[in-house]
Amino acid sequence: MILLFIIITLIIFTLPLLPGFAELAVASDAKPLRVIQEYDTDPKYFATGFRLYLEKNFDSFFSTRDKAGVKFQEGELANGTKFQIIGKQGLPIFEQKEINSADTKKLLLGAFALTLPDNMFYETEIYGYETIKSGNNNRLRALMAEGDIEIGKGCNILRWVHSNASLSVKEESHLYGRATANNSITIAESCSFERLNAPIILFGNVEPARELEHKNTGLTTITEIPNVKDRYERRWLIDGDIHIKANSFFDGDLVATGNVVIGAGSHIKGSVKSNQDMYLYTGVTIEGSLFSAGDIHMETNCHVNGPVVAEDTILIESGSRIGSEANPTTVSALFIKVMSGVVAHGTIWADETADVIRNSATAYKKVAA
Amino acid sequence: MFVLVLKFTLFVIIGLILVYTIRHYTFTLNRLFGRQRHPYINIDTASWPNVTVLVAAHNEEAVIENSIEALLRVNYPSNKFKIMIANDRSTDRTAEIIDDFAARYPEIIKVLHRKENDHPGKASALRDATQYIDSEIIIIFDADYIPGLGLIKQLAAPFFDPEVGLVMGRVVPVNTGYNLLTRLLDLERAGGYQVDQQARMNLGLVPQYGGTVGGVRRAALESVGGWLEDTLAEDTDITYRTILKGWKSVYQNHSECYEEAPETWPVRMNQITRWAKGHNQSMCRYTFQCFATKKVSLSEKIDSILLLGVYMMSPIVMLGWTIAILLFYMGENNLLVGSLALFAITAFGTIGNFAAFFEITSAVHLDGGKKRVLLLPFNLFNFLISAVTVSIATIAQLLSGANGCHPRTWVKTPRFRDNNFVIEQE
Repeated sequence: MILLFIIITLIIFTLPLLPGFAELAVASDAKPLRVIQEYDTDPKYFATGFRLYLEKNFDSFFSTRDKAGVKFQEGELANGTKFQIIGKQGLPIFEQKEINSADTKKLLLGAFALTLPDNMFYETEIYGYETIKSGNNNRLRALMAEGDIEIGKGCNILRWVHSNASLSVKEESHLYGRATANNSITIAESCSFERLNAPIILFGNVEPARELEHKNTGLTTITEIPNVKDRYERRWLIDGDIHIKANSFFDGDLVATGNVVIGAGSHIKGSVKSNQDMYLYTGVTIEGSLFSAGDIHMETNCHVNGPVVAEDTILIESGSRIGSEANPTTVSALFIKVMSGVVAHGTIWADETADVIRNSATAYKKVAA
Repeated sequence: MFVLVLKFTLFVIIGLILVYTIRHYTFTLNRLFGRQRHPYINIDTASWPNVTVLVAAHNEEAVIENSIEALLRVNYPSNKFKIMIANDRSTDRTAEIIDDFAARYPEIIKVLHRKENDHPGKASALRDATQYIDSEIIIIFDADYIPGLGLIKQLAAPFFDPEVGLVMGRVVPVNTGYNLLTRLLDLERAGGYQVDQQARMNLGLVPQYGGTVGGVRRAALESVGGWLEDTLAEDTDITYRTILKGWKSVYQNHSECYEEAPETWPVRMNQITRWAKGHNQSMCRYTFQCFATKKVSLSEKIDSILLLGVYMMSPIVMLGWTIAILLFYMGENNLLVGSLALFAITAFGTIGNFAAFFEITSAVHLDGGKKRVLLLPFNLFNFLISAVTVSIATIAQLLSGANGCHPRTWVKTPRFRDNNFVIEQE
């Protein structure tokens, strides 16, 4: 009886371990978790990979410097991807069933300026050796061109788009994933995007304000701030809210456990962090970075030189400038709303969505003036 | 009276276990269903600050070459990037290897050779080397770590936030499939980083700087007087001293780097003994300060105090078991009676016992793991061995009297791989 009890007990204790023993013997899931060693944070990561893929699969296309001899050609790669190489005519040629379904799965390579017909779904990547005009009301998986890319009205880019020159996006288009350019990006009102990267990014149809000048004269230098919890070198840690009066100058980094409000025309020679929301009145200059655990609202003609990061929403009004050509930077938040007339240099990255809007009345506005 | 004391102690211990159980569940549920915070990971373009990667190396001839080569490949502006290697009294070929690299890359690599009579230990090596570093950000790696191309930028990015004093990335075991121990440690590390650390980050608590794959702001370090030489766990020590000064520590779950997990149980026990002693040392030093400080929020206070107590819980649980058995044989097992006892035992049996396991399974789920979770029941043995090891370490530390909070010995974890190692990924 005791032996039976011992055996049953052992079985009960061993049973939960049996799947483990099996996995230990087979080792079907024993490799280290994947860490992408080659990921270098480059926003053009996919475009670079795509270009390498094309060079590998279309050796003759890329090795011929003079593309005059490139003629229309169709075929299929070893992996089953159908492709079309487009010569001087600059227009893809679709089969009737593609026209009927308004859908093509072909990889398109343009040797010259490429123009895409409207109202189509381009399910595979498109490459342009020169320029690409996307047409209107198209859905496109991904685009890359050595020259300019023009995204027409009402288009959706599903994965990424990259131009080695400039990228322009017309109204009511939506860029999911990454949009990058080596020179500049211009994105019209009523467009939305997730991630933009270029040396110059212009928003909307308004001519951007010229480079803002730091106005240091006539400002009142701040030497005391109430409720200082800790102060070390340049960093002031403040318990509660910070209210910087208009036309003030502060040399140092500010950290508040509460909200931060910076008055019009003020100049902070350092970085600012709010653990709640942040509001910058018109014409504020921040030489460092801005961080907020909530929202950041920048009124007109503000200039921030360093990264601008909010854990909720960022609203940037007309005439504001983020970064500079010499010091490109990053704007990042869950939601970003940018008004026409804003200029940014570097990356604008919304985890959810970013919108280009006409005026701030339509935007989220939380921090009381 | 004696029985009363035993019963009271047991209730206190049960209360503490309950607190830590709730803590496990809070972290895991937050990680599964809460809002996830990764505020700095999107910063890919910026005017990057000057960064020095500091590597403390003690007899690392087997691995240091790989590590330096990986560091030389990283994507960071070369005019803002330096590597400082503190050769900590190595007796193998480490000095020769790093001198060779320094001769080839004099603009990037600086070397500090510590002498035989210098104070031993990583904290001392870091302290000495930091004197020769002029950059505002110091990123610290162990000599066997192989960073990916973008890792330095990812670890530097949070320092644009003027509140951040410390940054910690995620450590991923590279030798997962070697044996049962490495597979169990892979699960344990996943729970610790993927759930514990990220939940702390999400909840605005105190993610712990772990001593490697992390960084420290020079101003934060200087504001607390630099690295302390007499600490066994310089990572825990610097975490507490900086947060007590009002700096934040942050965790970057996507900033991952491979590490080598111990492959034998004696090495693992030595490692956890050192961690326990170092952690307990910090507990002695900083628990009261955590209660008293006005520079951190209430939730940060609670989290930091509970974090300080994690290694002390092993001997406390052991004590609880002993008291419970003692009371049983003394015929005093009447603490809870009737349906209340049934309810309490059932509740703990179905929920409480599994808090740590729930954390690990959630981590495996978040990592996209499949069959590795089948090894979960074996972790019972791992936990048991760890609990006994930590208890012995803690009791030994307590018995050493006044020196209990000031241990002076430091045991380096041996390396198992060499420079010819190839990463086999999932």
